[in-house]
Amino acid sequence: MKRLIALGSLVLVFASCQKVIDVNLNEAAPQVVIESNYYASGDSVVAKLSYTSNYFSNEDSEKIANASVTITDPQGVPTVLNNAGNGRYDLFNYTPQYNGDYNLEVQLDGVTYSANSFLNDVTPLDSLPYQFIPQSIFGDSGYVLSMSLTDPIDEANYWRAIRVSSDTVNDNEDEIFLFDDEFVNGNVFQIPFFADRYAVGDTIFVELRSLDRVTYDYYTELISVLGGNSAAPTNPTTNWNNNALGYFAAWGRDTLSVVIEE
Amino acid sequence: MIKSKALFLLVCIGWLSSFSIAQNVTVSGSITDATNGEDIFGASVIVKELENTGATTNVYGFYSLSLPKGSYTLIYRAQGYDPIAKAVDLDSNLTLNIQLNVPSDVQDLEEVEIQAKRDNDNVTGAQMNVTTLDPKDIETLPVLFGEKDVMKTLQLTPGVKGAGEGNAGFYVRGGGTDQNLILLDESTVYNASHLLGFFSVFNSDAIKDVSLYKAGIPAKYGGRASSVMDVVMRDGNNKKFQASGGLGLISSRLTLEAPIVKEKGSFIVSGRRSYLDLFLKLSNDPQINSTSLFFYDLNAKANYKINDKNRVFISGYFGKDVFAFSDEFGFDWGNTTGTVRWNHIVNDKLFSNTSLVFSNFNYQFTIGQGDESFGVVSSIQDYNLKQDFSYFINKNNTMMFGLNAMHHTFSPGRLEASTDDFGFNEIELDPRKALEFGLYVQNEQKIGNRWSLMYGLRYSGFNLIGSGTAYEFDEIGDLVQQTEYNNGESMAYHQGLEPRFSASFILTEVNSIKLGFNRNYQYIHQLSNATTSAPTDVYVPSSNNVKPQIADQIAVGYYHNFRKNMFQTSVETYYKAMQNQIDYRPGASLIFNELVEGELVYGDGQAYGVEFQLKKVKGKFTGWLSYTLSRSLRQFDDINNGEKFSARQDRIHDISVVMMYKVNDKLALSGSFVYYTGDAVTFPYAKYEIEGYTVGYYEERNSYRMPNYHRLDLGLTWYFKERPKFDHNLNFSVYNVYNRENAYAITFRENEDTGATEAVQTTLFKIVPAITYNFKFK
Repeated sequence: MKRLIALGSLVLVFASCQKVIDVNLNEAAPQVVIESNYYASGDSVVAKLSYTSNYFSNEDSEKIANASVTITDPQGVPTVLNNAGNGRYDLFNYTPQYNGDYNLEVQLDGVTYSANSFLNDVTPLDSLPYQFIPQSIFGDSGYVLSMSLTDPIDEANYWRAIRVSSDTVNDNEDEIFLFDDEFVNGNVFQIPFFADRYAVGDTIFVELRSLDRVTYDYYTELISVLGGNSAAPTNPTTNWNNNALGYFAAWGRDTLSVVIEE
Repeated sequence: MIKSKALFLLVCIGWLSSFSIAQNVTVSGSITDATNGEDIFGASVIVKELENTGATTNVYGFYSLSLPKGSYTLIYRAQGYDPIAKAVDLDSNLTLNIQLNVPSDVQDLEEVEIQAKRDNDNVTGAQMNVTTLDPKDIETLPVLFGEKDVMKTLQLTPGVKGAGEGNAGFYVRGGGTDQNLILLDESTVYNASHLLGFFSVFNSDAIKDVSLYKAGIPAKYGGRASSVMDVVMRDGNNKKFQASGGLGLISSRLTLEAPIVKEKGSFIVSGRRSYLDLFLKLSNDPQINSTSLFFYDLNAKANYKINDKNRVFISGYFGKDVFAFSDEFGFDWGNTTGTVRWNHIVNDKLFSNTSLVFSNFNYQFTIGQGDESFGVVSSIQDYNLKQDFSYFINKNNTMMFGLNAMHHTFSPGRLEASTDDFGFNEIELDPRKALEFGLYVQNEQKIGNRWSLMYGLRYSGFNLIGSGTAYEFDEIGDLVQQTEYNNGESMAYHQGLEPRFSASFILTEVNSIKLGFNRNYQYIHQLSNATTSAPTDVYVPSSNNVKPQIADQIAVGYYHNFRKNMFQTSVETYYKAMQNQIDYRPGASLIFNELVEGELVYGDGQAYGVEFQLKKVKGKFTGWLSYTLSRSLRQFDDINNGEKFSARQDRIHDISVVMMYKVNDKLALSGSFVYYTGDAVTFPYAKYEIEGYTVGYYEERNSYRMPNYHRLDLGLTWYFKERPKFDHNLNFSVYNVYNRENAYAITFRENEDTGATEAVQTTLFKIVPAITYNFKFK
């Protein structure tokens, strides 16, 4: 919509203009940012801790290296993450217990930050069908790749898909691709990467992450903030308490790759 | 039910009280313009022999005045016309139709004095906070691209603020853009903009006058929380054929009007079309020359006087915007309205009007062409049946009462595909149907020489009707239950009593104090969470989730005229409390969302301010200077940690200056200047990284300000020598004379070379000169 209006006004005025200006933004007290994932399929936990930085600052954000980070499994057994330095805390060979609630706790300067994430069963990727689409208003001609999966019945499912290809033409690969089973509950269904066009010989690697609801909502709101057209942007709703930013997500994945053939 | 009985009783009491004073005789009739037969609204008749006795015409030019039997001199006058005096011997009821002439150069002294004495309506009338504009009065004002526009000029008056360049809407006293009821011949206009908001849909050539009510809103109006903008179309010349028009940079217009039967009926047809797309075709760039971007509109109206007691009117508006880009995608939207009216003079004291009103607003988005396309179609359609009475009880009381019932159909969206290659043929969101109705009574009363009162009550109701699905959500907006309703079943019912009150206390002939109170209910809500307003904004009716918006406003004003009413000054102050205001959950998706009601959160608003105006209404030099100091705040449990925050339109200071100088018969100069505090916006306080994306960190909502906005426009109109049958002029205007780069939007981005974050300001209009040629065959 914004693009439409921008285009409309551009055509209309011939001479709408843009310039870089100085905006005086308030200095906020640095906030704690905790970006943390339990990569259940890889048996590893990684938490990255940092502070927010001045909005116009060109430097890297300040990392938090003096915290203690603990993950607690569904049975209530805590395990401390290694402090790998530079704000990174990690843990390997940590075997997942699917269908269970994990807790991550960060102790920092006398404050305890805590977040929970539910590790759902992994939805398998059945196949990666593709189809040749002739040139149309939606894009050039090429192969459109889809994910085919079977929706587990009787539960709400939330997914994020990542695709990486040998083809560098597709700029859309770094977008956050989310979908849920609201309209397909219990079905076998296909979800296309509709904006991407692949050519014969391309190898595409697809990763399907099975998220919990909290993480899915976080990404949804993150997309909206990154989009920049909201009249009232807010911080994405996080599962951290004590006003920490970021998220803790426990998820497993299934992967498939495909080579496009004629 | 009890409430409606009470209302009925009130009407009855009004009737009875009128019969107790039945010794008088009545003089009634119409007041029209002698040159073209147009009704004059707000013309007055006063009795020279009796102090403070008179009547005013209603919107159809009808007046009625009850007097004790005797001989009188009646003086008929209206702003912009020569007054006429008529001597009458009243011993029985009398019909007196009067035609007023535009001023001749020679006026006798007595007339001037009479006129001066009655030029103080702004001081003595009970209605406060109403701004009325006649397009004739503002035709020389400079405007963007020389397109004269009553809506843009209204935004230069105190308390009314344009939503900014590229935005169609306007804010009245801190209310939202969806809180203004815009009526064109009684028909609701949902989207009053052309070209993505740069021009209003009102073609000045077809418009008689525009009134904007900001407070003390009369009881006959209902349905919006903040204001009423009532636009009345011209009736057309009923004496002779007339053609007028203009050629401008953006558009050209042509108006034809003529009698149907001389002095009995007339019609007017006025059309306008923009032709920017013709210039685009000249471009060498294939992207640009295949783009079309135009609007057209057509106003048509006919009226016929069947006899002295009955008159019928038919009027319609058709307007459309078309925007298409290289056959790849198209976007068009438009309003259609139609009104059929029947005026009936029941007797000398009772005037009736029955209207059947139709209104439709729709937009569609098409991607692709022919066999390979899909599109979204959305619309709102209304049918409204209205019955209004004006009852001229006696010289001190005029009562208005009536009722209306309006049927709404909201079609929030239908996705249509020309082929099933996309995996679907048609997906449609459930249409919603509702019945909105109102019942009102209002009396305008004079008490002695000093008090004028206007008091009334409106009962309004809103019934959402099946078939449809009602959704219930939990506190985080998740669907918990849904209930299906059959066709015709009531899904939700809301109602309210809306008291309306205005009073003026006349201190001296040129000094008065006025007070106003109004409560307004609003049952239809416009949703938009983008930084820019667009015709694609979603409308939702009140339902089991969405409660009606309620606004209560109290306003007090002081009015003073000096130099024989040449100067008018006013100070008005107001406080407005708003309930059930709507905002959105983070990341809300509003378009094509069946569960859109789950994305909404509700809160309160308050607005207050003081408005100063100095206006010069006579002489070669006319215009006004106004200053508004005001705040508009919101408070939501779910937003900003429950703390109050500034509404986007919280412009603290707002200044406008409008000047028109008629140098001589050939030359008129004009200028306008605006300055206002930048809109409240939400900017980040800091940044952080998530998965390599730079994310802004936000603290308070709307805690920052856009840069202050200011702009000067100048205009010059050259009138060519007037001939008996032909009249023409040339208008030059310059928009944004000193080339101020006002901010339309501020966005943040990463510099591609340095990687540093920077703020980028977009400006839409720098200096824009324009030329328009206007003509008239008489």
